[in-house]
Amino acid sequence: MILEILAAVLIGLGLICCCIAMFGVYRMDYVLTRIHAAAIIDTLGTLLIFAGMILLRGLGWASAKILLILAFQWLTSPVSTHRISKVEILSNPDYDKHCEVE
Amino acid sequence: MKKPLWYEKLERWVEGDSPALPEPLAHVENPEPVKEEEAPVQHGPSLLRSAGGTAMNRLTTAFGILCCAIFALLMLTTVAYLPRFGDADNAPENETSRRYIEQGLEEVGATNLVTNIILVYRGFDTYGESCVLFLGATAVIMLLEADRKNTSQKDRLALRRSDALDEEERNQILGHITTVLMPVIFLYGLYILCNGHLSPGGGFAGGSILGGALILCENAFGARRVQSFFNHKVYHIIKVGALILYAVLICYTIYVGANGLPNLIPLGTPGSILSAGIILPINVAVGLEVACTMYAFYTYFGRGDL
Repeated sequence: MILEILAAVLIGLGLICCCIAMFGVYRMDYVLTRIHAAAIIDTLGTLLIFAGMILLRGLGWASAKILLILAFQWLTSPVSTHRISKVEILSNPDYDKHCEVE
Repeated sequence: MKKPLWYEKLERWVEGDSPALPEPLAHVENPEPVKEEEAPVQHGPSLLRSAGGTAMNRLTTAFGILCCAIFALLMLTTVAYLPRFGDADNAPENETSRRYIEQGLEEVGATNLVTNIILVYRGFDTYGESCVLFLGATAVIMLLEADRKNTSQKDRLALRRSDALDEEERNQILGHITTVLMPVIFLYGLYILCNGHLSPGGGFAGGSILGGALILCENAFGARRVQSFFNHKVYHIIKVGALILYAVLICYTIYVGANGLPNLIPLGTPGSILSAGIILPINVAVGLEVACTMYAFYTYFGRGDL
């Protein structure tokens, strides 16, 4: 019972993260700021939702597979985000007009 | 009906913080008229120009239009012969589907009934699909291959410069991650390829994963590294070999089945990986075909070469 409530809270938080990211993608108006918002889904959103699912399932093969998916997501999606921003910076000479870039 | 204040605020926040609301509207309005003005100016004359020109050009255009019309007519007549909707002897009710479900396992031997249908019962169909892939890749190569006639010295220099820039910018992060992930992705693609007769998957799905892995490899390590193991020779051997293997297997099966001869390819025990007769080699052949086609499309559209 407690586990299920905890899992529900985690999945709910994950969904809130996804909603925030989605709002961010629509609200921001430039690539670099947009991918910054969208990356929330791939990292925090998936982490919270998968943690909730693992709590619901208990330890076992299913949760091991979920962990594998999480590892794959965490390896790949930051890299793709990084590549998109790199391409934008390489191809757009006045990228720093739209937002501050350090 | 007035919107509540919080809703307006939220709306403004979603659309960006700019207090002046008409700005996004003007931004949306602008492209429309431009598109309307540009479209006829761009498309009309260019079509006419290709239709005009020499008599040979006009003949080619007329022939193309004739071919299209004939094919459209054929398709429409076929539609007229389709069974009526909801008829009692339509496909879902007739004996073919029942036979697929009841005897597919013992006749063909794959536990995945969908694979039974698409690769053996309807194998000729799927062979046509593989031929379409083959012809598509061939057409892309014919059109986009960069040779002496369609590339100038300038194009080649530009390509070399961009390659050099890529080499300079060769990304450490992507390279490391790809080194870690590449074996896993290849393994997963092979797993799907070789388990097509046991679980969902098969040649098309596994082949596209393999093709995606090759594209990732090209992005991370550069085209030269991929060329070292996947050059023109390997590409042609795999592509033609896979298609010929498929053709031979499907011809053999059709010949044996049509003449009631005993099938010499053992079916094996259903559920083990070496079972289901011709399905496993066909899946591998289709997968290699799909992987080659995907990678060839990617590189020919990008560089005009493998």
